[in-house]
Amino acid sequence: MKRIRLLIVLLVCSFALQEAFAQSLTVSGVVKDKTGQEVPGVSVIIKGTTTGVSTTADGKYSITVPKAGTTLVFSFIGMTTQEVLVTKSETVNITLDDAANTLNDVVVVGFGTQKRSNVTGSVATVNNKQLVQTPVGDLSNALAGRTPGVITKQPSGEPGADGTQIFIRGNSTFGGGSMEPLFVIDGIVRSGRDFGQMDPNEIESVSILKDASSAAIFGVKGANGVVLVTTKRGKAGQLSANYSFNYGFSQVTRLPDALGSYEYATLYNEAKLNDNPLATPEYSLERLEAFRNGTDPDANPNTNWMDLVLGGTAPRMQHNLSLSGGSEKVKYFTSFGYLNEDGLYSSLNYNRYNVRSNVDIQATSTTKISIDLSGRLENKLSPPANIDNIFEHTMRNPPVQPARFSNGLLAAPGVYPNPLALISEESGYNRNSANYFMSNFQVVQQIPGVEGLSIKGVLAFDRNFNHNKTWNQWVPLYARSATGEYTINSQSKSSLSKGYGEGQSTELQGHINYDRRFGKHGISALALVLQKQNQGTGIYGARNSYESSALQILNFGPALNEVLSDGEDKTALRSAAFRVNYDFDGKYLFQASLRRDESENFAPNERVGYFPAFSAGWLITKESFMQNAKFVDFLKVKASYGTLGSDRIPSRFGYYNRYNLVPNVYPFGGTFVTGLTPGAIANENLTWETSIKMDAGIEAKFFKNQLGIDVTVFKERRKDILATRALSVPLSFGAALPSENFGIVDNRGVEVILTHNKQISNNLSYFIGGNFTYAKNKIVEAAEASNIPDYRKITGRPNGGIYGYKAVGIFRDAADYAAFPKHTAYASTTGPGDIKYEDVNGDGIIDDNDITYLGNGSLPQVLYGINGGVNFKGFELNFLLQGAAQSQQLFTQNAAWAFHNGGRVNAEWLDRWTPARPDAPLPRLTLNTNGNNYLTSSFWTQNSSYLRLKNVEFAYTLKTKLLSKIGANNLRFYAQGQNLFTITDLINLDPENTNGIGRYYPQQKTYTFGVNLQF
Amino acid sequence: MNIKRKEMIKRYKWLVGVMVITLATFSCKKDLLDIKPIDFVSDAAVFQDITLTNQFVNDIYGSLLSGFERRDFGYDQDWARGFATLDMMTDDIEGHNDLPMNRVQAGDLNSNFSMGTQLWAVNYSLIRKANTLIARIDQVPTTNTALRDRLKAETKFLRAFAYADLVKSFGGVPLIITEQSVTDDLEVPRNTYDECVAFIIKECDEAAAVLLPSYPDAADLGRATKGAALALKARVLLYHASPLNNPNNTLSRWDDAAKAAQQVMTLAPATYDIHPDYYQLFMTKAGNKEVIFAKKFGRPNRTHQSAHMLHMSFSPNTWGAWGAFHATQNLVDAFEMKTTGLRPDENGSGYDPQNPYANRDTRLDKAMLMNGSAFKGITVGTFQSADLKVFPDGNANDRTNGDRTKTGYGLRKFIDDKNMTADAVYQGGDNDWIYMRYAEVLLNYAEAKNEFSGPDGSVYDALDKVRARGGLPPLPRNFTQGALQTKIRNERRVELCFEEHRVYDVRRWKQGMTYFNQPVYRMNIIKNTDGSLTYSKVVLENRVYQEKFNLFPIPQIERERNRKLTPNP
Repeated sequence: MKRIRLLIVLLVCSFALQEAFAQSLTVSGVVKDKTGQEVPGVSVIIKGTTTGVSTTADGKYSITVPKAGTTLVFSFIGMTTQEVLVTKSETVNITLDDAANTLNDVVVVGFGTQKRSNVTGSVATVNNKQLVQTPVGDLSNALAGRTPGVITKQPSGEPGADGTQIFIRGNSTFGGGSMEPLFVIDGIVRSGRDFGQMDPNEIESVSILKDASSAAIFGVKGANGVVLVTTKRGKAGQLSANYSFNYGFSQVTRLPDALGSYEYATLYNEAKLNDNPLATPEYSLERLEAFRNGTDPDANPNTNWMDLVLGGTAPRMQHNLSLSGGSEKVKYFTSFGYLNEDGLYSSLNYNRYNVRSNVDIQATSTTKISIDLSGRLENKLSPPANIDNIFEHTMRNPPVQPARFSNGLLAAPGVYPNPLALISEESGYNRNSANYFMSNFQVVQQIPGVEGLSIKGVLAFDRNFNHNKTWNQWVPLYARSATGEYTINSQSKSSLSKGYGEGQSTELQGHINYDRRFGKHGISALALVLQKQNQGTGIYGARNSYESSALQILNFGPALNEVLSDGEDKTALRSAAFRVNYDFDGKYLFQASLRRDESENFAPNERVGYFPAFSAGWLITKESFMQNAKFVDFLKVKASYGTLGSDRIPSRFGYYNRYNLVPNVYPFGGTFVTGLTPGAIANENLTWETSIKMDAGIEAKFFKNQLGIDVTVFKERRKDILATRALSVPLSFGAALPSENFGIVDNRGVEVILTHNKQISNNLSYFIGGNFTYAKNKIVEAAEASNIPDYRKITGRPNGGIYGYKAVGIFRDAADYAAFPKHTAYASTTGPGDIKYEDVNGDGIIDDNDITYLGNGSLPQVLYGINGGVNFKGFELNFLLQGAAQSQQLFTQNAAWAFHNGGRVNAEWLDRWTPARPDAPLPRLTLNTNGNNYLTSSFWTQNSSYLRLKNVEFAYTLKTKLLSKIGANNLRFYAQGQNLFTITDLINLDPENTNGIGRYYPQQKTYTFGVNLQF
Repeated sequence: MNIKRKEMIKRYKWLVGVMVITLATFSCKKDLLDIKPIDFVSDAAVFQDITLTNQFVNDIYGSLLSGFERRDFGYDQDWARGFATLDMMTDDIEGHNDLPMNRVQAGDLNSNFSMGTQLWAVNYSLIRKANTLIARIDQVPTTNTALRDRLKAETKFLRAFAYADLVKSFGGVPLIITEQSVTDDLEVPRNTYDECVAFIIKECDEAAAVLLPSYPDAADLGRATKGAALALKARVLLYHASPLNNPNNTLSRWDDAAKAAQQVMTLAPATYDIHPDYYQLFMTKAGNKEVIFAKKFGRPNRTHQSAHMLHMSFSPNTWGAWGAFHATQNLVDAFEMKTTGLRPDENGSGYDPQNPYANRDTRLDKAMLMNGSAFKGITVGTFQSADLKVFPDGNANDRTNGDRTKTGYGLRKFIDDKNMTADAVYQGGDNDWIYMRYAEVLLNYAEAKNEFSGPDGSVYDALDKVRARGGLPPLPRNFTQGALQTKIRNERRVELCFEEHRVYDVRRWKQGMTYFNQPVYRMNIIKNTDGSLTYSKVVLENRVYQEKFNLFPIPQIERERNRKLTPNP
């Protein structure tokens, strides 16, 4: 805090020194786009400085320049940057080209920007328009399908917890390390949630750094790729305001098709007879008839549990107001956002407030100060029962059990809890609130006398607080006797827990930047030092057996059986980096960088790591011999090579021989004593994972930029992966094994982008694009025991693969059963109608030694997106199709099996094996867990490839005189849909699901309507 | 402000920016990276402070593996802890339909047997901790050398206890008694059974020499005692003398076993005695003189799941029991008639097949729930209705309840009825798992002594003391050695039922092909329309056993990691 105070004092001092600047020339004019439309908000900057203005709502600008010979730079995101040399005071009108037609726009890279044509690494961008087009609560969901190399999986649709897992170019670690990319917001590393919970209206652009040369500047943090977010900043000119509002509602993308009572009961009788041919049917003919006719539903319910819990629609709403403007001296951008998402049940709600204020102050002609403050407040209300518990019973309860009687009383449905009680507001609440405050102060100083040299200082200080309160109480449930009397369940006592946590982080950076051309030689260089410190602390308390709910505070509960715990942690990082770019004549491009990191997570002599990277590019179209190839507008080849690190490893202080505290380890004489238990054995040589990445690509534009093709091949070797030798050290060793840097994974693949756009007339244009990613990984070293048979080895196979029995069909009849080997464990219980397995090791029997590799698992190896749009006289239609292939999901329990744990039956079981239907796709029914059929096998492994309409938008922009009378520029109406349809072979669940039991809050399809008003 | 000064400021004002940046960048803390852990202590600290050393020993106790903590679904899968017990491998119990244990019952006891792997892994984990402690405790600085010696002796007992568990399951195992380092050759071959036994006996003797029969401070209840070390020795010697390990029937081994048991018996009645109530025996924690050594449990932090996983499932099921435990008719038939002291299948026993639970050994009712049992105000019904329009099915046999009884019998022993409420059941049970108790010592003595020298007064006395609790009459003193062997073996089955003795006893007697390779039975009860009940004993399922199962297979994953391990046949 001391340091901040000092900085503020200094900032104030530097204001005091600010003085007026002598004026000499004035340039003014209008900026229009190719269609002749005025463009507001274009930035007009004096080259080599940060001084500038932006165009007004009608595209006009006026700027004062110090002297003749000054160059003005006109830039606008999505359009070509233009430079104009000023010789006298005059009117200069400019027409800017669309960026879609150009390669000269600027790309945000680590700690700087680069001209897109000069980028030699692999950097993908997603612009604000694409982000806003996707009405999602968590921004990570807006990245899916937008660019190649970004492999996404959205495992849940729960409001406030529906983030997408992002794997940049796939999964190359195992053993507990994370593949989460690094998220950097305006130059400061922040958490994935800080990114996900941003308001999209605050964001100017998102860059995704995928290869070594682009990410190496992030060193030990960069191996998983980097997501760089740049927020919007103010531009000089009159106040511009933007208000947007949208309202929508969500539904589950797909629900399992569970059988109703009549079919369920019919199958139940069949299953019971299968188990014991002498048994009496469970459901009499009269009862079956009653189910079919719906007679007396209290006695003969037909409950669709999934529908009751998840069948509704959940409203959502978003507001955003942003203001920007300022003078040449002070520019500002402020934004206020609000998001409110309801759950599919009323006890679930998520809301969020986002604020941001970015202020730029030109303190002197060479000093620029930026002060960015942002914050958010997240509130989440959910029922006290956890999601797993709610969905366990929603997935399981059979239709013949009542949920609610016709008199409105909630039912006690047989053996399992009633999920309607678990989600009821009567059951209590789980309230979470999290506050985040983030600040970022920057000072940029041009050094007079040395052209192109500047230095920058950055201080970022973040603080967050969160608390949770969970109150759990009894819900009255009723059982109905055969004669129609209701009895209430016995009352249970309530419980309360409260948790409180806070964290803070401080980051300091110092940069030296040099950027200058000497004739044909262009040089830019960056040197930086940074250090970061995070600390967090939390406390948690819980009491149970509350006799009353009168006071929902901890002191009100009995101290017996209370739980109390706390935690503290601190981390730190110190780094330095250097990067130099050189180009000759804009044709031959080179970049080299080196970063040095020091992390406290390792023993003092293993702390330092160096991460170098190199890349080069050749802009072939700049060569004279290409001048005749008129149809080729742009052609570049590039390659990069470098080393990165990942310190996202599972444990802290792995270099200590540690004894962990175990509270209440043993109750001697009825009183608990404290224990100390040995932790994993220390490894003083512990260090980070190392990633060696290679990347080569070609970028081309043809036919007046109407056709674009990018192809990139990449290869990564991730080594020093931290894992334990648990697969080769005998259990008789007895201790938790040290983490060691021995694992190796190879990952390789290809990315392709195709784009096409055409302006057919002034009023009509369209674009279409596609991106494709293929990434395949292979474990090279996992310290596997030497005598494991090849067909069961994980070495040489994809990371996270599925292993089990290979199902080769169903025993269709007695002859088939006699002819094939049976599983030894179930030799006496299997028969025709059961699943048969391949004898993988050829020993004539089926047993655990026949377990083998079945597939690469839930992370797809192929991902693609197709987006397109049409523009006609203010009407717009945009869509994004997104798909994935080469992935599998293993389903078990109630997500797959009939009558599991006394549970429901899915509709596909109508097509089960019976002696009369020997070729049915599913095995015979049983009420018990059928050991043979329910082994982990390819039978329950489904292909989870899919293609879905991720997003579609229809919009109309209104520009009338009426609007200008109220001071508005334009008004845009739109209707959007998210996940509207999905094509997949997978049954019952969403293909992005990763929960094999199906116990999760399902993915949502969303319909949204909105307006956007610009002043 | 004079002109010159103003000029200066104008010319060098940019320096302010430079200063700000420089200050911001280099005002770093030198010790930024010097972060010390706050939530654990280092290795060195533990052996510098006897209090911390003591806490390490507490943790070794916490590592004990009990019958409430078996994992049948993968040795490291905690969710199913206590869903099955080792005795589900015997003819005494049928488990839940979903259990991998069903494969073992069907004759597939293979090297992937999860409870065997767990037993191996957990015991070796305890052994490593003990090796560490025993190697380093002598260097712990303290003036309380008595405490230091005691902790070492306790730990020696715990390590011997873990080895005894391994040896009775697998035969000879690698005898690792030093703290291995990762760089050592970790592929240690198996020692012989006799080498392991010799080590265990030596350690028990050393522990018994230091430990007291009981602790003066009630807060130490549950720590290893002299009696525990002697009782472990007696049990290991009994196994050592048994047919599986003593093929030539060297009689001196039986003599050694009997003498070792007798050594424990000298501690009675001052320290040990029979608890008067067979149900309360398993609930009473303080002042329970029958307990020699137990795994202690306590709410809320150290509980077990027997209450809801194993307990019989009734409807309406207000406490959510899973009903994973079903005693077999085979076991019920081993409980004798109270008046005659004879098994129901013996001539003149007085057994009425249509009133099967009348006049039985009272331990039957305290160990199991069956048709007509009273439990927390509910009368258990395991019958099926002949006609549902006249009578509903019994509450433990409700047709819509997937957890209904499979055999007609549920578990009462170990189930603490104070915990069986809707509110309490999921919080877990906290009654202790008793590893060794005085009745077992008496039975060990009776068996060893009878094998060594035939029936004598001391043998009958020991048996009568155990049987009296079941309300059985004293044994007539006219048994042949062979007949008494049968009686003793039946008595062990009844008295120690569900305590994971049978799974090993039958193996060490080499009687697996007799008991475990035959059908198990259930009691089928039909409630007739006139309200009367018809009882019939019917086959539940066939069980398969092979002689080679007398030892558990060496875990597959261990054999993959240690190529020097020879498999069990």
